[in-house]
Amino acid sequence: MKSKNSSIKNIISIRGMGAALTAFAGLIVIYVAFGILNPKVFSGQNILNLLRSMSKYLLIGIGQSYVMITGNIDLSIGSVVGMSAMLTATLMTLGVNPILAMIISLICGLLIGVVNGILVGKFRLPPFIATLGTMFVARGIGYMVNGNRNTDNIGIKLGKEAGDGFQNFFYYDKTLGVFNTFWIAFLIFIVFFFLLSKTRTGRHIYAIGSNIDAARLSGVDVVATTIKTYLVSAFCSVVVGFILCAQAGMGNMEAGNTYEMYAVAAGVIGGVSPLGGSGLLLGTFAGAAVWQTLENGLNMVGAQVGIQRIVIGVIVVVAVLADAVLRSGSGVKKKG
Amino acid sequence: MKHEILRFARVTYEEKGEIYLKDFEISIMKGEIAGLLPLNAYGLTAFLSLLRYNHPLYYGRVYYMGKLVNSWQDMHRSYNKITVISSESSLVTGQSVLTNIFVLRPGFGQYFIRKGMLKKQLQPFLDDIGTDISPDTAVETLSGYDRVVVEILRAVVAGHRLIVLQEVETFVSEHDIEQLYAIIKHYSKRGITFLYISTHFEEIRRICDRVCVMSNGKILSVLDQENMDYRTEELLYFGYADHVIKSLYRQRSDTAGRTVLHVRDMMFPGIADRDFYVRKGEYLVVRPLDHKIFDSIVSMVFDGRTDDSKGFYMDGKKIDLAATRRAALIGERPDENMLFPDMSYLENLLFTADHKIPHLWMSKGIKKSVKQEMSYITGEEVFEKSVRSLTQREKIELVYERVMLQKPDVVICVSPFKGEDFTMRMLILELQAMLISKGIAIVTITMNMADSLSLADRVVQIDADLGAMEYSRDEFGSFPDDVPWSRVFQRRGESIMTHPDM
Repeated sequence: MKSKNSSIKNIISIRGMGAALTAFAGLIVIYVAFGILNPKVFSGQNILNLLRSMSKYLLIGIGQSYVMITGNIDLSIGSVVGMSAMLTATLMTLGVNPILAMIISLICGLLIGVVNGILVGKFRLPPFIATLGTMFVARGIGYMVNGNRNTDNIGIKLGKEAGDGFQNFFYYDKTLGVFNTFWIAFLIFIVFFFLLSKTRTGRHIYAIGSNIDAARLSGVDVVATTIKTYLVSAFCSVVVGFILCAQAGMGNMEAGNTYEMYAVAAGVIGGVSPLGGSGLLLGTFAGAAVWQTLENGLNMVGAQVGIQRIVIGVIVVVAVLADAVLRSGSGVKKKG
Repeated sequence: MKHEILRFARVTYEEKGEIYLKDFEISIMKGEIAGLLPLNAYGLTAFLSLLRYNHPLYYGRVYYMGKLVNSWQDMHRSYNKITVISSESSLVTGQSVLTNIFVLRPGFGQYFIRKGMLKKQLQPFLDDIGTDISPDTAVETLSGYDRVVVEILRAVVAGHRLIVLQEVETFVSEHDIEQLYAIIKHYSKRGITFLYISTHFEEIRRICDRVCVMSNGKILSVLDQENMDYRTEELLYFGYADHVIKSLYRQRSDTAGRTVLHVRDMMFPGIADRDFYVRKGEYLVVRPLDHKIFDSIVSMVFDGRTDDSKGFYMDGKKIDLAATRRAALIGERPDENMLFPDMSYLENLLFTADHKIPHLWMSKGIKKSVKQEMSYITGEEVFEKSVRSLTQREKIELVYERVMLQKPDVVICVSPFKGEDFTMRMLILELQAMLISKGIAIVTITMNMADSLSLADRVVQIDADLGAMEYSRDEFGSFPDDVPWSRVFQRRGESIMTHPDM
């Protein structure tokens, strides 16, 4: 019994685990509450749709969490999603092989990540301003690639089979009874979870967010680590761009609009501190699920869009407030 | 007749159930330069806070400028016009000297700022103390000395009659400190009162008329000029002095040994292309006498910005001191600045040891065994605490133990004793001695020698006019009396290298 208690204590004592578990508990409460109001929420099909829809938020949440743990923010996420969707779709409508189109989009997205990282890490620009700039640039590129209009169907030149293949792989097909979209997001989650919690790079990311000067003096390459976090963010955004492109079968210029804020919300609800230094990707998983369950549940009980936004906004503020209160009161003892 | 400016009458002050000041009695007269010597830091923050903010008292009364401003019976709270100047600037960065002195002070009534008129008003104050600080200078570019002068001027202009100076000798260079003392004496003659707080008796003796000795939130005794001699100092530091003297006689390293760090072609203000060598297990003190030299050395070490062949070399290879694990850097106030408060104790401890232990972050087993091994030294309970809740002692120990696990060839410490009380200074001396005993060289960069002399093998004093002067251990007796522990070397002379009891 004692060892069971101590292992529970050990799990809870992991940095950010408390917040992640709270987010999971909140998820269960929200889900059950909506299920009582509308039993369709519990249906298998709804659960599958929920998993697929939350995958987008999970991916962008992972990227934003990486950046937020270093104490920064990435406002370019939504625009990189849009740029990726437009670029991939435009190339495919021109008959470019989908894999090549994705590689080109990935390179462009990662370039935005590198620029963000250099501006914030090397030139020490405020991340809000630096990524605000790249947000407009990426969105502008997304507009320009197809002459300021949405693309045609991606299969128009590739042929129906190739177009459908792309769409099915990223959005419509299932593996082991669950949509591929979720598996893709889950795989990326596992990789980045491992990177953050089990590697030296992960430790450096936390160190920068916790005390950047101490990190620098302890031999952490702050510029390189900051660039890495923005690369993760850009990578995740590009993948979400593929998903949106596959979902619609075309490129939409407004794809990913305001996704950067959803990403912040997913991270913050899951306990990733916007002040940096703490948070677990497990929490981001819970945060993305809470976000999607709220959207889904409020839809199913017939709540207006305005109500949905208000509820989600309040939850984000409460989560940040809880983080600030916990930080200010976490055992800080005044020296006499 | 002397007028009393401040009196704490039997003040007992508690916060969250903990008593920080107990029957605290202090009385300071108008125009006096009083000293406060805290033997430990306990209660000092509470005293400084009470001076200004009149928090509710458990017992006692506080009088300022002849008026009762705080009483255990009275619930009326007000703010006292008292300025506290410490190593943390209270000036508003991004603003000019003029704005800080006139505009950003309570009671500045003008809506439209007439810069020309304010400059005219400021000039007599500047002329009065013979300073040439430009009113348009941005305050963040000021030297430590200029910053203190501006803060004093702001206090004078605002009509503050008591100015508290806390450990100013730790951030004002040796060149400037005499000028600062002249300004303090000048204003004290004009009726402004100063309370000079320092943990170094030598500093207090240089400027103060009398000194109040404080320990554990109580005033132990008040010493006047006649009693502020070396014998009193030895009595006060009994135990600590013994500890320091023991460290004077520690086994010295062979200073002719292997060079672990070569600083090549360094250029500081007034000094060009100078080389420095640090040898294995050696304790070298680098003491710039000028804040510009101090700042340039620190930024060179921390930022690693050097050109061409200039820079830091280890085994003939140019290195970035902050990036290499062969060197460790410990900044000022390591308990506040060198830890990662969001990480666990173990993660903090192992942070710079991952190059020695492969797969450290992946393996729970490795972490567990390191924890077990280290708990013999640190105790088990610290591993369960959050870093934020560690005591100051535990935090300092954590920083130095991290360095121990890193096993660098050289550790560079910036002002390691700055602002620390005797207990912490003793701890830091012990921890530094532990590093040296492992063959790790220490380079201390400091403007104030503090206790470094007791461990030092060599001192390099850098002066913009005189250049770099190197002192070996048997020359330490040539330092002036006010350099802490120099008298021990003066008294023992040549016999210093041999402990009488060894």
